[in-house]
Amino acid sequence: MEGAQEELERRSKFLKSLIQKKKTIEQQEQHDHLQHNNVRVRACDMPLPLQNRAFRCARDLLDSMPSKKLDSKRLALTLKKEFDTSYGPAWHCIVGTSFGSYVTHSFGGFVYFSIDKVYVLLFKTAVEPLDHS
Amino acid sequence: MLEGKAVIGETDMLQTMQQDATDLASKALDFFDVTEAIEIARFIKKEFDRMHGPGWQCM
Repeated sequence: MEGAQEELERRSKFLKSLIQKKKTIEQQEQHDHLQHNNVRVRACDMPLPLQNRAFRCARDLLDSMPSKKLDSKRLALTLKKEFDTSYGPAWHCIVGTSFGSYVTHSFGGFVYFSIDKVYVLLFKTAVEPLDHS
Repeated sequence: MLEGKAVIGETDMLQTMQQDATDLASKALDFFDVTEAIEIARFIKKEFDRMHGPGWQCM
């Protein structure tokens, strides 16, 4: 009986170490990905896959723009539409090089990051259905 | 009180609320330095939440 207990503990420890190792690798990959794309997360309440989607979308669009000419409105529009389509309404996006903000956002729907010298605020708010009574 | 006229760029808001917004912006600039953007935004947002119900955003 004791042998079985020890075996269970050994397996449990082994699984925990595997999970920990996987987490560490994922964090390292995320860090490398951010470094490579020149992204810095300033504030965040958002799952990693959504964050990465925002970074990738912003990076692709910035790369497609002529250098020295930032079309911040286009970047904001694209990110907003992308997230509205994929994750439901209502997302809001502010893009610029100098702005302050104070917002109320839905749980898990907020990220503020910089990419190159551009700052991006992307957040979600709850949508109340229109009362047609 | 801060001198100078507020210029409204684009709007979809009642005239009275527009007036509240410009008044609050002016008040915020009396309270805070122009570089304290987050504090200014926080002040206007909180006041609008109080005056006109929750859910306002300010940049």
